Formats: sequence, structure tokens, C-alpha cells
Amino acid sequence: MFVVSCAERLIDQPTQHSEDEILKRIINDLVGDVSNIQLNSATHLQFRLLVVERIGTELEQEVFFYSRIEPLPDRDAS
Amino acid sequence: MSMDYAIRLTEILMGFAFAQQSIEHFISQASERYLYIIRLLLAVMLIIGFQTAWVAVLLLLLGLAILHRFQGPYNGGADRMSLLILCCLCLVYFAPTQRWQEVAFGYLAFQLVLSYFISGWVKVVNKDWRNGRALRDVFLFSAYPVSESLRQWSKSARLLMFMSWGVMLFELLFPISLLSSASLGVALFIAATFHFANACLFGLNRFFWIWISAYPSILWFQQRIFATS
Repeated sequence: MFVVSCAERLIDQPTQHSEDEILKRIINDLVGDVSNIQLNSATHLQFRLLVVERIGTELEQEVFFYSRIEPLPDRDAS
Repeated sequence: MSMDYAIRLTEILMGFAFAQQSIEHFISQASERYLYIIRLLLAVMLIIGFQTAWVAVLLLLLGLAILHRFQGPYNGGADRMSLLILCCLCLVYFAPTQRWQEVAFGYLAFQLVLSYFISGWVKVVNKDWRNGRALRDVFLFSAYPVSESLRQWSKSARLLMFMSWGVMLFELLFPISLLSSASLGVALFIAATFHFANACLFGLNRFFWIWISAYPSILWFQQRIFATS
């Protein structure tokens, strides 16, 4: 729920703290997951926030936020 | 239920709620872990009844530190309810007279009633909740960890409409349950079941434990206000 809270804060009023916290948690997940070969070869990370909103009977998608591009730690060393 | 007994029950239930929350953080980063190791120790003191007034003050201060660390209540309503119960308990411990203690503890009961009623009101004035679409969207798009099989519930329009109205009517009618201890007991059982279902379906387990911690206050409040009439 903290990640959801950070995402909501980034949509309302972006802060460095919320961006850092989401990046930190995604990186922790990636470092812990060695099974995905494609992810293992990745060197950088960027996340985006895609908001799905119902307008009348239609669903509309809009990207509200792009994070900075963050270098990933060397996972071979970990 | 006497106020002393209700307060003691609140301390124990809140202690277990805080302990459970704290243990969740033991696998997180070191900076978070230290905060929650302290919180777990204080929660244990609360459960065994050791210097509960000062322990509650320390837990409140630690709660402020956690607010600062996460730049706000990171777990939504559950965090707010935790701080509300702590504030009310601290006011009870340090209130100058018994009347002021009752005001502080009664305020917690009042906020608990409002937490259900306002939640129902916000839903019932929303067209999407009245026609069941809002709940359908929750199952379809929720960011909470909903399993794929549960997401299939979004196709059962009539079931979700029934569930939506069930939740709204229960929340709106909750204040009426205060009229008798039996009706309040039934209402609290339904409410706890509702929170338990949310914990199982959406992983919102913190709401279940911390809302239950506030139940002794409303049981005491009902007897204090209505049982004498």
C-alpha cells in the first residue's frame, strides 16, 4: 500500500521522496529475482504511472508520470 | 463494560495490531527495521500492561517519526486509525478528571461510528457505487493484490450490485445499532467480517486488526449513553 500511496502522491504533487521510494522497491525486487534472463541483462530502470479512468462507459488510459532513469546495481556482484 | 476494562482491552488489541504491523517490516530495509523493532517492543509492553500510559506516549512519538520517515500515513486509513486510538488513549491517561477521560474515550467511539457512516455516505452519493460499477472496477483494476480468479467476480454484475448495496446500507445504518447492546454486537460482528473479507480479498489486513482495537470504546460508549436510559 505504501507504493500505491507514493504513486498517488506523485500524481497529486510529485516529490523526490515518492519517486525514490518506488524506485528503491522496484530495484529491490529486481535484485531478488534472478530467474528472468531479460531483466538480468537490463542496466537501467525507469517506471511510469499509467492511470486508467472510466469516462462514461469508456476506459481511458493516460501516463501521468515518468520517473528518472536510474542505473541498476551490478547483480553479478550481489 | 467498565471504562477501565474497555481501555485495557483496547491496549491489548492495539498491542497485537502494532506487533503484527511491525513484524511485516522485519524483511524491509534496515532504516525501517529499526523503527519497527522498537515498535514491536513497545507493543509487547502494551500487551502485558507495563507502564501503559508512558508506552502509549512513546508509541505516539514513534508514530510521528514513522510519519516523517514515510512522508505521511503510508497505509491510508489504518495508519490514521492507529494514531487516533493512540491520541485518545494518551488523552485518557493524562486527563485531569474522570469526565474528561470519558470525553476522550467517547470521542474515539464517535470517530468509529463516523468512519462507517461517512464511508457509506461517500459511496451512496456516487452513481457508480449505486449501480455496482465502482465495485466492479475495484475487482477489475485494483492496484491491491487481487488474484486472477477473484478478478472474474467483475463479470457478476448482479452479485456486485448486491454487495455494493449491502456495504452501503450497513455503513449508513451502523449508527442505529447503538440503540441496544445486542444490535451493536451484531453490527460489530458484521463489520469485523467485512474487514476480514477485505483482508482476504484485497490484502488489507491492517484495517481488520486496528478497527477491532477501537471496538471496546464503542461497546463502553453504548452502555454509558444508552444502557442507563
